[in-house]
Amino acid sequence: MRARKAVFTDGIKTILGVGHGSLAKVLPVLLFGAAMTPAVIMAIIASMFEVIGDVLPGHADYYQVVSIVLIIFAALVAPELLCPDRRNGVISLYLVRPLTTTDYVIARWLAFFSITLLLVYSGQAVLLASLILSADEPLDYLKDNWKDIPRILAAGLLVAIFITTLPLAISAFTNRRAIAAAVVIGLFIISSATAGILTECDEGHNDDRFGNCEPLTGDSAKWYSLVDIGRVPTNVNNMIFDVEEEGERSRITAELPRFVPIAWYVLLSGGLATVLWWRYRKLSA
Amino acid sequence: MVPVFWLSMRQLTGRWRVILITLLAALPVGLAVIVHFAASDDESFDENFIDVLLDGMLVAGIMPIVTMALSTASFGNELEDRALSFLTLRPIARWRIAIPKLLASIAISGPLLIASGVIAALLGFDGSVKAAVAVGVAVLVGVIAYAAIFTWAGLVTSRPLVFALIYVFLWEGVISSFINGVNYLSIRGYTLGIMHGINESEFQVLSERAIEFPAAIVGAVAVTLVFTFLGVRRLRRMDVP
Amino acid sequence: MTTTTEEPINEPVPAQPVIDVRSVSKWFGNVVAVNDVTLQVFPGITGLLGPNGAGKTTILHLMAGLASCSDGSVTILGEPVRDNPAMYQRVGVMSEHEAVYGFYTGRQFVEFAARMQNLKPVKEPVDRAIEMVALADAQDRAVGTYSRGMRQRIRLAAAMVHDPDVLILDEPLNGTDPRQRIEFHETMVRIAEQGKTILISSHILEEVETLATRILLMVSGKLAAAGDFRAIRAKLDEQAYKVRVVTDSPRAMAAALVGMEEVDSVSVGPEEGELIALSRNVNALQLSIPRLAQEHGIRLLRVEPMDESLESIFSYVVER
Repeated sequence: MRARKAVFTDGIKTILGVGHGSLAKVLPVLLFGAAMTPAVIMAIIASMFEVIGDVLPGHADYYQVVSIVLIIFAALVAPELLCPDRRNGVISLYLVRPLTTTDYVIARWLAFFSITLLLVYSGQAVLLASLILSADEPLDYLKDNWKDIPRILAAGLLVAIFITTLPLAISAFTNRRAIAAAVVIGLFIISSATAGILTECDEGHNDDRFGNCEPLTGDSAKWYSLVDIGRVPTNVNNMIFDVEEEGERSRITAELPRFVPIAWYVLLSGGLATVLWWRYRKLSA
Repeated sequence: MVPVFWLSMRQLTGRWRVILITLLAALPVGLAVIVHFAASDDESFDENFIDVLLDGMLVAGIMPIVTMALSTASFGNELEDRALSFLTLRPIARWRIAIPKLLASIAISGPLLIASGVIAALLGFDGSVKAAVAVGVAVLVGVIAYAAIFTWAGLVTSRPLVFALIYVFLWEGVISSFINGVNYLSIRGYTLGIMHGINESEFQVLSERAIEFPAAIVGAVAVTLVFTFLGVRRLRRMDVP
Repeated sequence: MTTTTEEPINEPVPAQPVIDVRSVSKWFGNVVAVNDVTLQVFPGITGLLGPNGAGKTTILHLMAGLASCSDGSVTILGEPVRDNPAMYQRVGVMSEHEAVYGFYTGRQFVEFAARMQNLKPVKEPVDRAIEMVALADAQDRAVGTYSRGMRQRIRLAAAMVHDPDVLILDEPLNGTDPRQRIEFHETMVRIAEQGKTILISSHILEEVETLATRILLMVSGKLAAAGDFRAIRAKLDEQAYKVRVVTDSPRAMAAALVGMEEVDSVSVGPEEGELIALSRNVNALQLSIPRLAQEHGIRLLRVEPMDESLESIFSYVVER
């Protein structure tokens, strides 16, 4: 137990840059700031103009707004947790303690998950607090919108699980941080662009000659929309908040049976977690 | 210079790395095949092809990511392993170490990315050689310029990837979409400017965001020369661990 | 020669230094790694010693031109070391870091070093260097498969392939077994006999003691002592010498020794019949002991100085 806690604590310190150079400390602060900034801006606008709901992005849209920050955070931090230990041969030092590779992976995963969850929740917490406090009747606002709280908690949890598991699984396959980070970023960007080509059409040319805008891949487009890795947690987030985003891709994804995005999320998250575990078991064998 | 070049080629071409880069480079080609056979003659598909596939995927995504991964590792790996002294403790000028390292990362990433862009352009523009040449030249210039910046970054910071990601996604991605003038200080801007400049008719959709062709050429050359010079200077002056 | 804590202990040296370090300091932020060090290295084998954190690797990096001095200057063979790559035609350096290009075979690794040194042809120097480190049998194996000691040796071969006039070696004996150390010793002596200059940094005091004709002792970023270690010891006049005396009548001997002016103190040693005498005049003491033994009818079994070793010098200077 102590050994697992030590690995967990070391993971937290690595993420926050404790015991490392100044850049390692500045980066988490910058990323936290970047994740909080949209919430702060929305909070200021909401408090000054009493504008909420449909006009500004709300809790349901928050993840999408900060997704680029979360992706960069994941790409930069996850490799730091796993790659240097393997590169420097430190893994064997861990395993001569009462610690298995499963313990090691779980402890590292929990460390990253804790900080990611904090990152995801902190912005939502700021937004919620400001909306409550800026309302004419804060208690009434809370009474009318109390369902947002469990939704925020659930959606944040699911987003954090995905953002944690994917980059760690990728980092398990290379000793070089740069390669792991590049693959994580590349996966998000390229899957988004790929899904874009396969599902979208240019609405500016939606004219009567062609009727409704039809994707390149026809009816299969809704299945190809799942290729966009970055939207996997977004789709689940939208289902939790029971909203439909504007945009062609959301419209196409909404054509899928409701269980499909959830099943895809579970398959990906569970599959990646299994891959991560399996990879470290293989390393210790 | 030749021994350093081949050493760098060896260092950067691990089996899985080459497979990964090849797959990434093949992706625009694969999608271009789909677009080529599935698209109608509606020019909206051409615009989508340029916007999403060539710009969004290749120029803004795959090209900087591949170059980033290779060029930051040119010196980054040796600095991390504390093996750089093995190269610097030799009677050769520092530029004879820096230039081959830069050339090696270009030699690995360049041909694959150029081929990817050229083939995708040929498929997407129904065999138009002019379009293919425009894309090929633009990608070549982009790869060289990115390689120069990221090789320098690998020397000046222990976290070149942070710098690279901030530059590519924040500066070239987010800020340039709000402030148009940033395209004059962006490799993505130079790449698109060259593409549009060589073939204005087929890349008309870029006319609003592409910078002028002479500015793109001058910018790309200046960035390459300046950051190559800075890299050599850094190698001369730094304390080698 | 004064032996205050601020001045290094020096003994007279020949005229022309090969490596000349003048008033060199190096700081990293608030940490002063090397503090106003002046030293010279001459042809032959010189050992650089010091506890962890003494600044040995930093001063070696400064000498090798890998780092810039915050203050002062370093020259090798009269030429500045910094920003002077041509100097490496005559200088070979082996750093303490064990990183190698694991995908190269041993031979390819040394060939790469030879090509980087602009050697033409490459085959003979490479053969010679590999032979010198006794790795001919393993030269076609990937360096990544080598043991730690083998990696040290192939790195040494790469540092020596161009037959440099000056060799700077940082911890070259790390990971080597006793037989390899003997071979290394013989190789270094052979090179030194050709008039070359070798500077070795090592923690293995016994090896440096037998190998080096001169030592440089660094403590806390400063040069604490320089020269032949026996001469250095002689100059540590404030520190009494310890002499072990084993007799068949330790009490009688102790009484006789205590009466001597040259003897500061006498204590009983752990062995039977053993006495430890402290004296500032070891020569006089060693002449007196047989006389005393004869006068008092005591049988002497053993008389030996206890701190005529580099280890005792090292310990004493580090602690002072």
